[in-house]
Amino acid sequence: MNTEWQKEMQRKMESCRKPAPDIPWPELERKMTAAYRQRQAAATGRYKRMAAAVAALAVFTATTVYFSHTESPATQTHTAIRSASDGTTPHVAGGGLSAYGGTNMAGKPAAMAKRQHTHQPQTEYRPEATATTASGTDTPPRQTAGDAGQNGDMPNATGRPNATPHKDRAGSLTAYTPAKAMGKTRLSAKIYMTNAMSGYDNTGAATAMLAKADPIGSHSYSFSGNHCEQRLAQTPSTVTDVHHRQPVRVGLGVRYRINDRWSVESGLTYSYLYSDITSRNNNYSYQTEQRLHYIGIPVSASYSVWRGRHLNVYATAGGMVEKAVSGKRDTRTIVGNETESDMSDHVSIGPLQLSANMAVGAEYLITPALGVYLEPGLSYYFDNGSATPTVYSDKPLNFSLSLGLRFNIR
Amino acid sequence: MRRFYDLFAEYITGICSRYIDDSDDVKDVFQECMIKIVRNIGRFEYRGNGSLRSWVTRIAVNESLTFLKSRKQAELTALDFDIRDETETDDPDIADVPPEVIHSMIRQLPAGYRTVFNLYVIEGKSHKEIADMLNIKEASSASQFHRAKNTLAKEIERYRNNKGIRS
Repeated sequence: MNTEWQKEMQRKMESCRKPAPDIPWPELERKMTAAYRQRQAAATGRYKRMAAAVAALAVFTATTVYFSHTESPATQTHTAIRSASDGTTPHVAGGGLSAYGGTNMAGKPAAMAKRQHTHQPQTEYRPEATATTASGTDTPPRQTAGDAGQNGDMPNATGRPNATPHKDRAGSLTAYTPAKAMGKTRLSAKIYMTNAMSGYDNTGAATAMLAKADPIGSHSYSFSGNHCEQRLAQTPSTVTDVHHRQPVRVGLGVRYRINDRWSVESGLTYSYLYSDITSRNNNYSYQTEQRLHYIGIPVSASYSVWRGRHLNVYATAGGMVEKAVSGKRDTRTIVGNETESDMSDHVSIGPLQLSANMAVGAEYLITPALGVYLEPGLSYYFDNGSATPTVYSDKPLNFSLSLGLRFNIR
Repeated sequence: MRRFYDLFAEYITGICSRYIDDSDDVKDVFQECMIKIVRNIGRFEYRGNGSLRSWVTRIAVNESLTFLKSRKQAELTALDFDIRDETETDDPDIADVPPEVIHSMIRQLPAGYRTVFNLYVIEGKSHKEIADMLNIKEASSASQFHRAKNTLAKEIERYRNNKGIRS
């Protein structure tokens, strides 16, 4: 069989139309609408399940991280006893102080014990209690506190302690104080929400209209001989309003601290973009609602500018690659004041969306395990060549504001 | 939806009626196509001009085949038992034959031949793919295609003679 003959046959059959079966439109519309609603219900169910899974994961992560850093008194005692029996942590039998002096650790534990004595109510979140309990293994907690009070007087009585707490094992326990936790935690996870970027773009220019017209509404331009919509839309009096609402972004991330100043961060984000696009002239108008869903992977580096007991101020810069995983566009054609038709179609954006961002952030440590942070910043979205109008393409430079929780893991 | 119907109803009917000869059956399959299109519109990916039409075509062909396999399975299965080697005739000249006439000729072919011819020539499937789709042997697909094409060539020749069209 000659391929030319086959092509000619295909051309002829492709152009061949037959009168549609005699089905009353209301009947067919009713069945199609029912099918469409079924599909929507199924999609909504999927989104709800996804949201529930994400929420459950977030709660599980938060709970796990929180409790992994908030040991109960019983656990603390058990840990202390184990450490003492292992001989890995110096301890004071009967509250004697010579052991500390002999092991170069006299000052710090005693001072810590004094703090515990004077700030008893805070011991739950102040792991000095752990250090104190560890040092007072053989004595009941109350007696330990008393001993600690005595111990606490010693450094003052004998001058400054000769300890170098950061160089020995016992000293490492001081990393549990909030200020140290801020500086010593290597790995942290975060959950956050970014709600930024709003804009209003109104243009009557034909060129701007054309740039945004293709994705609007039906795919009728795909069909030869049916370009009347486009031609009408290109009349000089046509005005297109593009209104991008505030996109919502939620994300999960992990940060790894390289040293006291630098840390790197990555994660996973979900972004929801909503746009109203109205194209109108003297005769009719199109009203389009566009919903886009993006999944992204951010990568960034942070530099800690100032770090205090509870507060960390930092600058961060990085980039993100996003993929539009789903999109939908509902278009209503209005002639005069009456709706002529409704059309819904799927939006597919093939190219990846790249962006660069920089921000300054302030993180406040509520507990050693949990901090809250705020990050105002700027993002720039690179042109990915897609003709679909989005807030990314229409307003590439945007202000952003992120708010989140950060869980210090270890 | 109405706009979509206006744009595609006749096109879809053209496809369905090329596979299915009974008008009532075409009506059922057409309706099923429209419902399936709406239900699966979320899976459509826009890939340039004509992508929606290609997608619609796939649905119409699949729905037609589903119908044929459910109602005309006996005729399709019989293709495996009706293998007679037949030499393929030359490609008939169709330049002067209107699309509607060719469409009508294809429609008059027996269900099995018609299906194989449509899939091979119009949809561009290979005999291997057709064999898998219809659960028949690959050799049966090739053989039945030749028979379908020869039958069609005779009809076209007759039409041309009646119209006084000379090659």
